[in-house]
Amino acid sequence: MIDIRNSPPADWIASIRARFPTERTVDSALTRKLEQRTCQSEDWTRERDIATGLRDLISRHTQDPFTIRGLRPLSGGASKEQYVFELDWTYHGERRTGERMVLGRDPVESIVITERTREFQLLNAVKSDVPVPPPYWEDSAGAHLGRPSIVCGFVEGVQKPPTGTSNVTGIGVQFDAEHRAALGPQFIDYLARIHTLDVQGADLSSFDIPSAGTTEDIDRQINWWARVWEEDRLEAVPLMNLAEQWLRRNRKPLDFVSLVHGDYRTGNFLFDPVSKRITTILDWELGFFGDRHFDLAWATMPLFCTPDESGAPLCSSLYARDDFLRNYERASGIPIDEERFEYYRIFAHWRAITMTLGAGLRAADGSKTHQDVVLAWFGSISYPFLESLRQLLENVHCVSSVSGQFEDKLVKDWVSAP
Amino acid sequence: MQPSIDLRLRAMIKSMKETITPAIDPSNQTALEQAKVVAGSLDLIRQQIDYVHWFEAIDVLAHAALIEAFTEVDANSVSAEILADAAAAKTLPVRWQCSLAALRDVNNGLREAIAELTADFAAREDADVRLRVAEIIIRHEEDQLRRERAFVAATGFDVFPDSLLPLEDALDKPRQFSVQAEQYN
Repeated sequence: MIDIRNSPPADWIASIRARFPTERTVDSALTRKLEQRTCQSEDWTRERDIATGLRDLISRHTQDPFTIRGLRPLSGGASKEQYVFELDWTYHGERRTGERMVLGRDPVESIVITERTREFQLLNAVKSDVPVPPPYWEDSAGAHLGRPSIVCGFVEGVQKPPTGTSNVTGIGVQFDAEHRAALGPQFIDYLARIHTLDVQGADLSSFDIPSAGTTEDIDRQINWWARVWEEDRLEAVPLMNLAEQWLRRNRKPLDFVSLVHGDYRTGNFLFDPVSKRITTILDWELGFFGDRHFDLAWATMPLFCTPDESGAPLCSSLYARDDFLRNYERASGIPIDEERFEYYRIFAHWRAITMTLGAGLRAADGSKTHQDVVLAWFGSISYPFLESLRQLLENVHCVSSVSGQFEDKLVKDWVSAP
Repeated sequence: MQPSIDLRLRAMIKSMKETITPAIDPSNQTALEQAKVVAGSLDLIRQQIDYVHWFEAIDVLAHAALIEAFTEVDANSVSAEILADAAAAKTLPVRWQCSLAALRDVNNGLREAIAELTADFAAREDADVRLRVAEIIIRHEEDQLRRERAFVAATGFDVFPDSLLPLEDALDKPRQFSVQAEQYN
């Protein structure tokens, strides 16, 4: 069976763009992905080539002499190639020696495709209020490193306690009571700050900021991820169609415009193992302006829960869900709209599956990243995500569970097949 | 006689765990993580391999049944061509010489047809029709996902242990139990 997605013709790309109107820079990133779909992951990841490109990028931004030292791959994350290095350079007249930095470089395709400019602008917009890696330079066109890239300062910290375990990308990290007591309030406080941040004056030219009282935000969000699903899925899944249709029919006008992180969960922050102070909030590439309930729904998804000592689920391994939501309301001063929260729970699951079962597996199928084996493994998380989505849709459709009915018929069909 | 696939997989896993992974530079965390995932993936394949054909065959039957179920909502909703494809698909799993690739191909065709039918139903003005189709899909997926989750359970991602079955049970027998996940949802 020929899959048009493997080699999408120009008219198919044009029809997809027209069918799913979304933010300008989301459109440009997804269109570039499709136009490059037949490109293979080039042999350009040798550190010598990366060093040359990095030197080229930095030299465009600084007139003073500089030296790059110790360039090497950095682990973590399934979406970007990452390298760490030390830089001797001059910053606003101050000579700095051995400043550690991180280079993030897009693979040809990935579980997430976004414009680096969005991430760069968000980091600059929030850096005074939220701990983030200091952003230095970006190359959204890939002019210097072959593909879109960003350079940020390195921030010390750990993702999990020294004795902790986890699956990939920080899923399944568990905290003991002492860590929860220290990290939980910070986790909520930073989320509240993000959602209530005044970004007036910041350069956010790569974002199409929606208006309150309209459905611009959710229409663009649904179109973004419906487009990704349509472009990337390896096979159709009926539940995904059902979810998209339910989301389109049940959307509400935005009540309050917030900056939304887009991937706020345990695994996406680092903390000092001694003081247990959160040192940085990571992974801003999915950030957007819209409904804060998305972040709340995302952080409380069952797949991001781990059990406490008594076996009760803790959202993002930190709080029971009700405690998380009530503490957030207190910290932000904004009430949670239960109906919106339930809506965004469905949206969050649908988006997660689009990423893991759609974009992630498509990238691995095309051998497009340095983490293909991790993406293929991570694709398996889609099935419990789907089960969770199915239960949510069952609730909103008031469908009673009559388990086994379909298999009864199925087995009869098999038995009676010629 | 061929060395069994299980034997070869076990040998690969042993090599990954005992020889290759310990030889990786401890500072190369990406390589270490990937080595761990490779060993885990080989182990997962070892658990799945006896059931892959069986799994795909059930999938074909389930999707053919879903298409036929749509006709119970509206007899004219499914074209004769798609119904014929679904009927033909049901004969495939009992042919021993039917390859896994052929089953996958047919399955993908059925899935695409279902996606189009679902979109058609969603565009209907009649809310009752939409609700009945939603109910059919949700019930279909309950069974479908029980199999899918069992198939990849060894990855350790699942959080609904009460409804997670051993793979053979998930493929073999219709279940009569309700999902106990309210503590999460």
